[in-house]
Amino acid sequence: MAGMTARHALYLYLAVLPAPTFVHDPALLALGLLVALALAGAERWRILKRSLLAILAFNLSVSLGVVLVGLWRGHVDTDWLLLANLRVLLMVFLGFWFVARVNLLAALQGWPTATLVATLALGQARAFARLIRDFRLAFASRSIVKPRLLDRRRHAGAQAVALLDKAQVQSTEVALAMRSRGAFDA
Amino acid sequence: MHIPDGFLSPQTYLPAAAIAVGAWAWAARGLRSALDETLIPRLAMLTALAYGLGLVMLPLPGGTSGHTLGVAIIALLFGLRLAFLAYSGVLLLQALLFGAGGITALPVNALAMGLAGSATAIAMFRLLKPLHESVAVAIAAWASVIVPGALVAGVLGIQPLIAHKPDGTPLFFPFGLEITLPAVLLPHALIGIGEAALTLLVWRYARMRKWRA
Amino acid sequence: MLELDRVRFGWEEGKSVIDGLSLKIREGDKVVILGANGCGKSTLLKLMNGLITPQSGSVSYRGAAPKGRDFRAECALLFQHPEAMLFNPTVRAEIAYGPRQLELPDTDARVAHWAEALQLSPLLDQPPFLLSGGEKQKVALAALLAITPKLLLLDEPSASLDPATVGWLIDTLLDSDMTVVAATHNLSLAAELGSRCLVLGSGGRLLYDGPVAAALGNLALLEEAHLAHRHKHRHDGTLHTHLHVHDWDGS
Repeated sequence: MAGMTARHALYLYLAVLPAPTFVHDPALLALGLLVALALAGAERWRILKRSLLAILAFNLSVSLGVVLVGLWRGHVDTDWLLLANLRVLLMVFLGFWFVARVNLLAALQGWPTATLVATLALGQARAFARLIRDFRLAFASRSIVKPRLLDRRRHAGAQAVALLDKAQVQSTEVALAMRSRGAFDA
Repeated sequence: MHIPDGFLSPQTYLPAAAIAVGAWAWAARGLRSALDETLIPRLAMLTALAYGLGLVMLPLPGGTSGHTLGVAIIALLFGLRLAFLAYSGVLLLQALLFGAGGITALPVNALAMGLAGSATAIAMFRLLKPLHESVAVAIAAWASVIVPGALVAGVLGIQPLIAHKPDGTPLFFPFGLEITLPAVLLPHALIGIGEAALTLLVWRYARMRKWRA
Repeated sequence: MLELDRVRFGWEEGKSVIDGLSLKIREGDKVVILGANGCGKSTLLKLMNGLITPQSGSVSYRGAAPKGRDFRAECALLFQHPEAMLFNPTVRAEIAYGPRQLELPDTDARVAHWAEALQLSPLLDQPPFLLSGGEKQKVALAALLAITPKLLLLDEPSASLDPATVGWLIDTLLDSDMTVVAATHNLSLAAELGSRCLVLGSGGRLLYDGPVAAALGNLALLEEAHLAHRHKHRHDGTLHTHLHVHDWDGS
């Protein structure tokens, strides 16, 4: 992706991503994965590890189901196992590769509304993630013994309420700040 | 429950993408005419809120937990269009920023969770509110989890029918409706109970603070 | 009592917030951790409270890992943003949470005592999430003191409290047998609260461990820790600079 703008990289990713869904030969999908690995550069193994972890839960449970049903029926569909898992791995790898290489906000430049919404949302999402992390740690800190289900429910409620509070306040604050900086002037 | 990339056939996600684009256009047009300049910060904050709510772990009986969906909370407080766009935004950000969740599956996920989930919550609430408001909120929240679950299970379950080799071997998701429906609906029925309890608590707080769309 | 041995921790891969820190807290110490925003004070307290695990090195409490019922009953942490600590439906239930978990027979008496001490009695039946920032911090503090911890960790305790309550807090902590570790960038609070001072620099490096007075008199140390700044002003048309600290005049 050297020399390509972020926006072109986004277009390329969106164009290439559906391709594996039109391919039904595991060998071709494996080849596609090898090409992607080769092109991904030094980060390839980190991206591959991340991809494998991301698909582990869903793919493992579906694959296990296929194996069990196959054993019961007397024939395990190994073709499908290869095809489906390679396809999903390749598509997820492409996603993580895109994420590692491309700044999303740079990719959205040229669509000012989308950029603004994404910038504001991302900033606030990070703040919310930190808040939830603090809630989780504080609950662990205050819970001397295993908390009751009622306590865990109350804790979930407190988090949701805190998020809503902050979203409401921030929504107003950001609008005021944008107005004061002339963002809404025609 | 998000569908990841690779389990949906092009015969599914391409038409879903066309429908989703139309639905997003409808939602955006409706919002622009109804709201003022505060639409952008509101939408951004609600997108972040939808993301944050997804981080809240819902305790379930038996010591397990599940991720909160929160779609009923946002739909009941802020309306269908904002909820739909906010959830679509979260799915997009998650896919493009964190590589989590599918891009090809995004239209189906957005239509199921964001649109159908929100619409179900609002419809159930309006239907049942004359009987008892708290019960209406709880059932609306429960339904807002079950209906998207059923849609997702349905879309996955028809994959073997619509995309298969000549000998019938599935090319994408391998299980039919007879497996996907119970596999998804049973745990979601449980998760829906947790979601209902959480939504009710938040609803009562929102009323105290007089929040509304 | 509490020991950190070459602890390294980062919230994100490749970025350490605490890098190779070692220190010991003795029973009865009143310790102040001084440092500018972002130097790792909050992270350090969370490591001490056993909430996060170091990527390398170790944290131990009385020679064992900081976890389990006995540890949680003895070591309490007041978070910098106390709203993250509150989740019960009323202030009364919030303060009672810890004593109830410990099944203490005098839970109601503890609630009444600490509510009165922190002027929370009129608010006992209120939901915590409707209170002001200062009130929330008082509720969080009461909830921790109600279990009579042996080691109390405080993250920016004076942030939302009024001066009278800060004064009360300092007196209470100094009069008690509790071991106290308070992280702050408020130099006046440091002077009043602690006998021992740890100064953190950027990257969680320990720049100083010793008596508070010596730390507060060392402008070069405070400048390195971003707790003092070079102040420009003119005298009779001549511009000069000197090091200056706010909220601490040394007198």
